[in-house]
Amino acid sequence: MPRLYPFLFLLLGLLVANQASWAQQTEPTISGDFRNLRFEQFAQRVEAQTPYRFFFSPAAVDTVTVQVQASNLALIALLKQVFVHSSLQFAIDEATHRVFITPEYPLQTQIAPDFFEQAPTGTMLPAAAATTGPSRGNRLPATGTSEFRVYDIGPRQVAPASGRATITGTVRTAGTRSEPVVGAAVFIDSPNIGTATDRQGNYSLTVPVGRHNLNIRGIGIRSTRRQLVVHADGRFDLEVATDAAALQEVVVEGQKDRNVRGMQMGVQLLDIKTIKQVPTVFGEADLLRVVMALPGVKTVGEGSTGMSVRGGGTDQNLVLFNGATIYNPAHLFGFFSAFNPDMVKSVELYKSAIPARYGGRLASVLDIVSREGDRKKFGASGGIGLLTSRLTLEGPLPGAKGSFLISGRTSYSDWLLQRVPSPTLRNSAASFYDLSAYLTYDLNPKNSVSVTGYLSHDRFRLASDTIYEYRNQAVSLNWKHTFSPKLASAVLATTSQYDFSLTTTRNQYSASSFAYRLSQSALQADFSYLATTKHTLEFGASTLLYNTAPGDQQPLGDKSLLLPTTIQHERALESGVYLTDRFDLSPRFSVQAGLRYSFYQALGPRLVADYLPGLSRSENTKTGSSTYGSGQVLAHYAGPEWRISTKLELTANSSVKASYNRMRQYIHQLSNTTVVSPTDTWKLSDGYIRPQVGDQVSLGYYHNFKRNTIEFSAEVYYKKIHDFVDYKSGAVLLLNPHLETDLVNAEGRAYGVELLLRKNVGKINGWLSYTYARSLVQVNTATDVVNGGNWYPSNYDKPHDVTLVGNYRFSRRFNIGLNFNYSTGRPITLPLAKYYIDNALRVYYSDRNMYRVPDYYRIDLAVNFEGNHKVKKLAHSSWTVAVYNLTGRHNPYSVYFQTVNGQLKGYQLSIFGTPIPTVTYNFRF
Amino acid sequence: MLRTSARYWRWANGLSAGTGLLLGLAGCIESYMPDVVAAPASYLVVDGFINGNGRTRILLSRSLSVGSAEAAPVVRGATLFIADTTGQRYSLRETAVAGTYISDSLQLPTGRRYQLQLTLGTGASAPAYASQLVPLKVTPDFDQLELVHQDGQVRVLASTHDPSGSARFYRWRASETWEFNAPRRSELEVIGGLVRPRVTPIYTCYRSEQPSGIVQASTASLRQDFLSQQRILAFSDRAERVKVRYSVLVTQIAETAEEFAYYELLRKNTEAVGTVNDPLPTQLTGNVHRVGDATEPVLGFVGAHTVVQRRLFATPASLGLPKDWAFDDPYSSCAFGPELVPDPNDKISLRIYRPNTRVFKSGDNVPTQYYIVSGDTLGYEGGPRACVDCRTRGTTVKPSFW
Repeated sequence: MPRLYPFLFLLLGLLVANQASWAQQTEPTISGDFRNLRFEQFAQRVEAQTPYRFFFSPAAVDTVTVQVQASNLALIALLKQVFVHSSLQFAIDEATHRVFITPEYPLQTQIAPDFFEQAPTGTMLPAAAATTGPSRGNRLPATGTSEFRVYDIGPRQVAPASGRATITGTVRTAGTRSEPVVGAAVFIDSPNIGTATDRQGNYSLTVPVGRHNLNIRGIGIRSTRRQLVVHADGRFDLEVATDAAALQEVVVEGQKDRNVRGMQMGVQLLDIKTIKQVPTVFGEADLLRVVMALPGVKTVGEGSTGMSVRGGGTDQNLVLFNGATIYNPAHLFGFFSAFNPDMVKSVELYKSAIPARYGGRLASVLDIVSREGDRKKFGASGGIGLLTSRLTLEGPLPGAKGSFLISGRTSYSDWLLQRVPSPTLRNSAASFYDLSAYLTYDLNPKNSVSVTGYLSHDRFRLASDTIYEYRNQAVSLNWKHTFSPKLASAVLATTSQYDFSLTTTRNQYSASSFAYRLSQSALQADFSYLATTKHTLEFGASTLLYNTAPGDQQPLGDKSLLLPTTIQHERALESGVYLTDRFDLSPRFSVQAGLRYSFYQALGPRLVADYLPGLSRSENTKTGSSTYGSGQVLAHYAGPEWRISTKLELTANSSVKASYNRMRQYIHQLSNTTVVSPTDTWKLSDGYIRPQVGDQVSLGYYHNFKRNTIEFSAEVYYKKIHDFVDYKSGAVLLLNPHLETDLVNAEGRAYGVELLLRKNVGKINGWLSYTYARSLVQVNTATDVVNGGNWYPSNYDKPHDVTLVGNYRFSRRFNIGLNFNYSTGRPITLPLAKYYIDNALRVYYSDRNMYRVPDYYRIDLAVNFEGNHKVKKLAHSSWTVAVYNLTGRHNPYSVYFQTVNGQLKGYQLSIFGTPIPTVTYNFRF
Repeated sequence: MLRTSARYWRWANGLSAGTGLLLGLAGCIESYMPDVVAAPASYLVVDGFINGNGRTRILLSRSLSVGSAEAAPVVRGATLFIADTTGQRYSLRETAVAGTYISDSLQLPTGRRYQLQLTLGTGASAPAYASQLVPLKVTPDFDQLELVHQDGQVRVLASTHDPSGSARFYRWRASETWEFNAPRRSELEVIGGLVRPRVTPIYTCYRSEQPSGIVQASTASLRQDFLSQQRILAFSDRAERVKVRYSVLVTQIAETAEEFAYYELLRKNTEAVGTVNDPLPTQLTGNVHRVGDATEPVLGFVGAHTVVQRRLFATPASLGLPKDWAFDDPYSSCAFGPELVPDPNDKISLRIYRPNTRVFKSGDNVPTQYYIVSGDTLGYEGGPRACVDCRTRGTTVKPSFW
């Protein structure tokens, strides 16, 4: 549509009569030196002196340089001088003090009244008519659809004393699927002032009064601008065209200059299009797998969704789905992530400079946001893959003020097990499903609510007598309220639960069922306040109640001799308050200083064992126990968490950022395997298990090339982790009533360099990253020592990593995606000596993690075919054909040693040791 | 698929995350032997336990580097004692088997704690070692020990209980012996390079094996110190070992919680270590230390317990196997053939005559019988030694208990 405007403009000029309606003699006069001004500048100065306002196409006046000096000249006389050598014509509408500049023909300022009724919305004419309306001060906010018209912001009569005015509004996409545009950059060029839209597409910008070009850039929308004349505070809602090319295409796009201009560092944003184009092992778009291709994120094992961010543990990542914590975001022992790709809009990963509103985990925050349902019409989409099928329904809520989105996914993977040549597995069954729903509703322009529900469930039956089951449930309720253009709030109430169970009936005398449950309820309020043009404040408070049932084992059947065992439940309250101030010291130098203060109280009822001080805790050093009543605090911790970051823009295309942050974590995952497994439990801090504290400093350099289409970043970090949980040899983690005797507090440190080159647009897009990262552990307390108390590599220590995620678009219907990944092998403990005990070969092992498995590398390829692009057809469909591990390299998933016929032999196991082809069909109605 | 079946158990135990599921599709297992395992590592290994109702037998040896193909070197000339908390000492003496030291048959009083003390060599500077003091555990007898045929397997199942409730932790060792036959009976033997009627029997042999797996169980989580049909050993019901006659000697030991934990770790270290799903291997030594130098690694755990043993026998009939039951045949790839060697009275110009032989002379092949066609003896039939001589896989000496 925008391309039609110049044509309409000309047409109008031809239609109207070739005569101007000249002004009356009451007009004000103008004085000043206007030499060597561009016409825009000239117009601004005249507008400042007089009530007149100019309307023109900037392109049309590009070539005009004003060479006029005026002394009490009438506007007509002045303009005649200005345009004496130009083909431009002007027309003055004295009733509204508007001046129209047109090429070739002057505009008729009076138009037949019936013309407006017929004119389509979105063209410049009705909008122009709106400005002629009599009630200027309280009219509806302008909806900015045109690049070519000039919008008035605020009542003209009320000029603010400060010379500045605040524009607020919402950016939405135009058309039937109108959705708020999130994270779009909204900025003016001179002076250089900008902001980004929030989750609802809202923005607020304080600019000097006067005329501005307002630029809007963002993901999935066509970059555009609006011409504004700002008089005073006012509202300006925008509708922008979606980027049609981007919809058909695979485009990795952030705010184009966010890399350089944003305050954030150590942050990666992925939208669902990027996620969907990356080839995966079973042809399922898998957002966690794509997150693991980002620099600084390492997988703990192929085919596992457990991840280590900058040397942190798998439990140090806060995974949020619309604000609710998800504890085990994996299906089928980690081969799939438990988020349906059809539901997801974007994923944001914070590795450093974590905003103060987040707390509770040391290493990272993974914020997954679901997309909004269609607000205009009902639709369905889905996909059929080798292992799972998905279906999504969406549509408007009554009154078109909201929408719903419901998405489900289920497996039919039992056929896979049937193919395994093992009778045990053939009699087994594995299934999973997940279901999510998202409702949004705008109560009024100032209040909106959204509700998210999430359920994932896994069941694995082994040989008909052992059953594993696990389940994540989460509900979140979000209420957003705008108090004023400067103050907005969001209140979030969430509850999440994770539970698993294990039943076995193999031996009737020891048949048992085991259950674990963790639930949390949280309430959080966040406020953002635009204090002044230089200060933006964010503050809020949160509180979170944990309840865990760490283990309940019951005998099954009459014959079972098993003693029922129930580990006492744990409760705790974690609260926090925070305040962040973003302070723009100069347009180029900003500081964001935040403090989160968190409190933690472990609550009774509980019976706590006492141990001899100064000795390693064990049953032998137990001295007695203390009883705590219900609600009684048995341990409490509190501390500040600093979140400080600064940004210095070196040039328009480069910047340097630095940050320091401290995080505290009060809940710990217990697992003596490196990967995330369904039998991992979570333990709350108590008098013996102290909270983990992590400090990180990082420094980064950011540079954008080729008009922000290529981003480069280099980040260095150093991290110290205090008191993370490690295990004594042979620790028993399930059903252990004195778990503290098997755990030790360890120290960790990690450092590294991350280089990233990312291209977001064009036929070739994707990213290339290199990471050098170390992650070390030390267990050297007065009572417990590992590896002689020296620093040793953690399980996540893989120093070198190169990742390429690329996509090439041959045409709108055909593109190819390519992954390449290389990393150093994982550390491993190797056998050093063999010996015989009772005629059996035994092995003496090296210090922990002294050696490494062979290096890892892999190439994947995916080809996406889209159906035709006719707008009207029954269903839009696409095919994805992918090959995982194209070269069939035998990457060691693990290395192990086994005694075979009395001989100690080393083996390496590759899970995906051959190229794995997959086909997926996707559709959308 | 080796790994998949191994995983079965650990899944069931709730320990692992079950990657085995997909191994059958694309997984592959290859040999992996890095160079680092070649470094010399010679630590003292103390193998044995203090026997409360019999002879204590201790084997002293040294560890080897992992890549080494040699036998473990034994340690001779050491002085060993069992000592208890009252100061009582019982000496051990080195036997004819190098590195093995035995005590007299002892009935040690319960209620005391015992340790093993040893000195390598003589002289004041000779290194001295000692195990930790441990209580003497009294092992209850079997309630039942069965050899049964279940679900395609032959299984050894033990049931036991301790009314006093003090045993709680159990470990078992099994020693298997079975009778088997070579695929063909040999009537001929090469004696002095000539084929003669067989003198040395090589058709029926006995083979003994000691499974290296550690089998333990605990009743700590049960109301009673009671174990029912605990699986000690299991193997396929088509195994050759039950084709003729099979016997197993099961030793039951009650142990302390520490010893149980040590053997659990040892089992994990040896049998289930290294995949991402497994626990980290432990730098595990035992309960023996060098006196005056705790940093020297000494390998082995010396416990103290009484011992209960019981022997079982099984035949195909006792297991209820049908008469036409097909057993696995380790000799299925054996090929037999004739060597043509005519009678010396024949006047055909061949160079050698009966009882000379070319094929069977070296001993790599063994003749079984004369090769006779239409009543004419044309030579000898035979096959490779491994296919004819059962002694390549066992011994012809019948065990005393057979």
